[in-house]
Amino acid sequence: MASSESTTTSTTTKVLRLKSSDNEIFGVEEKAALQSETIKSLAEDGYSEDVIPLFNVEKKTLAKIVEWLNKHASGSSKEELKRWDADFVDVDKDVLYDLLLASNYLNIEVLLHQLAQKVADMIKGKKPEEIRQLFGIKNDFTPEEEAEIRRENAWAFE
Amino acid sequence: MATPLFIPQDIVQDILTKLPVKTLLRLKCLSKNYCTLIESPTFISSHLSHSIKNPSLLVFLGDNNFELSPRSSFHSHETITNYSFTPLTFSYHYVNVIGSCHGLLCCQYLDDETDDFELVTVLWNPATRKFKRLPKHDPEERCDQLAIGLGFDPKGNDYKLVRASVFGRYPRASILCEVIERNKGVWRRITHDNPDYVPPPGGLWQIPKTASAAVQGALYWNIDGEILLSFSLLDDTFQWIPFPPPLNNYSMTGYNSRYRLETCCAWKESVAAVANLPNFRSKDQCFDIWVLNGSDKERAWSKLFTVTASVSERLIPICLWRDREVVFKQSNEDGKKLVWLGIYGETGLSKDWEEDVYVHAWWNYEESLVEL
Repeated sequence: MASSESTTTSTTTKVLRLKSSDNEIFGVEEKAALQSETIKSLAEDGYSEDVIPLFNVEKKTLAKIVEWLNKHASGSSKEELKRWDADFVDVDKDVLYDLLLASNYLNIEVLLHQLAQKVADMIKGKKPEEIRQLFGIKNDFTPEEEAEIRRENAWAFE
Repeated sequence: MATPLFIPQDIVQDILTKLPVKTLLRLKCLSKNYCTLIESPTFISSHLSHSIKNPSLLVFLGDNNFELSPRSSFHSHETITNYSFTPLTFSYHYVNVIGSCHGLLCCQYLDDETDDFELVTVLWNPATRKFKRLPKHDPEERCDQLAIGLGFDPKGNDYKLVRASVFGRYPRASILCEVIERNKGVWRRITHDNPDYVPPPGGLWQIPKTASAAVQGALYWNIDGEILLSFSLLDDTFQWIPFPPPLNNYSMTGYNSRYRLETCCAWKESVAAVANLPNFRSKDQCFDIWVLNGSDKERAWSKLFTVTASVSERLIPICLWRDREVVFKQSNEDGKKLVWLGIYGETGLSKDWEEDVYVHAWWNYEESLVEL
């Protein structure tokens, strides 16, 4: 909508209202909220005057996401953001998982990248058995097949 | 027991592209699905794209020590990975790295198990530890400069190793060239610039070799410190690219000094060059950093910035790094033994490696799963 674009340039900052799946409403400045491609297209579809419903995100996760959106729109220095981001993703794996799904749904590329990096770092030092358990991966190899794959790259398991 | 986290497939792929090759080889045993994903050409190429965005400098430590260390950061030693040269089980061969592209290295060594010490050329992926011996090529003619390089042809979706023997000097130079593709595995002679030129017989090993920069479907070499030679991997054609004269007014420089193209390297998907006019009367060493823009037909050099370092030792530029950083090496008086690597950035020159190391060769490197 053309009208919503023009208001961003005026002195009064526009606030978008985001509604979590469990009906909590968060007010977020438009500039911050539009870092999410999903919110951006919903806003363009005419939701900007109303409440924007986010059916896939619970309030505890949305609160964290809003915190991230605000910080990344606050004009903090690169170094400060880097420190802040490192703290932000330093959460237990269930919270990390919820954030990962939410940032994927909300299409926030920078955040998704940071969270994916965090999960990658978690995987690095783990044994295959631990990773299977963590992500619920069913081992469908026969013991012989698995042994063969392990043998091919035995040095990688050292 | 904690409940497992079911991550959607597209996010899984995104996570996996951020992992080192060694970890990915381990993850192949997770399940059939993971194994297929990690081996798929689509994944290999998206993993490579991620690696290209985070390049390393591969440092080849010579003196029978075939360790290769890519450095993701010059300011942190945590990320060094060591590779050993797996095609050989023992280590007193003289191994020469002659090309690097998409995580593949092309290496040569003399095989002492053959009577005539055959020169062996291998393609090697240090990260997957796979290697492939390439067929023998014609013996090297005595030429003025041998330009060798490994590059990727996006049109043919294949890797090409190029050996170009340059005879004489530009503009009267003649080029004899042989090319081999990874997928075809046969050497073919593709160009003979000046058919009347008869190369003198004999001659091996003493030919000056020049390192190549592989950028967007072409290879580039610094010839004689004066001009770039480029080879298009798309259509197998050569092109000479003159290097611009100095822009700065260097006054009071020593006689016999000329503006010299010290190195050309790949930088942010362009070709960059570092040039220097030696000034023997001053401790200040000035290096101009140029970048080549435009397409085949209309190429133009533009100067990015100048670095001035005041150190008594002679600096040798290696490549560009990150935004406005230049990697230098410095050797001792005989130019051989002690070498350190340093990086010139916002805070001036900072040296890497406190201990003395002999750096045999260096290449831009991006770890990959690319097959041979």
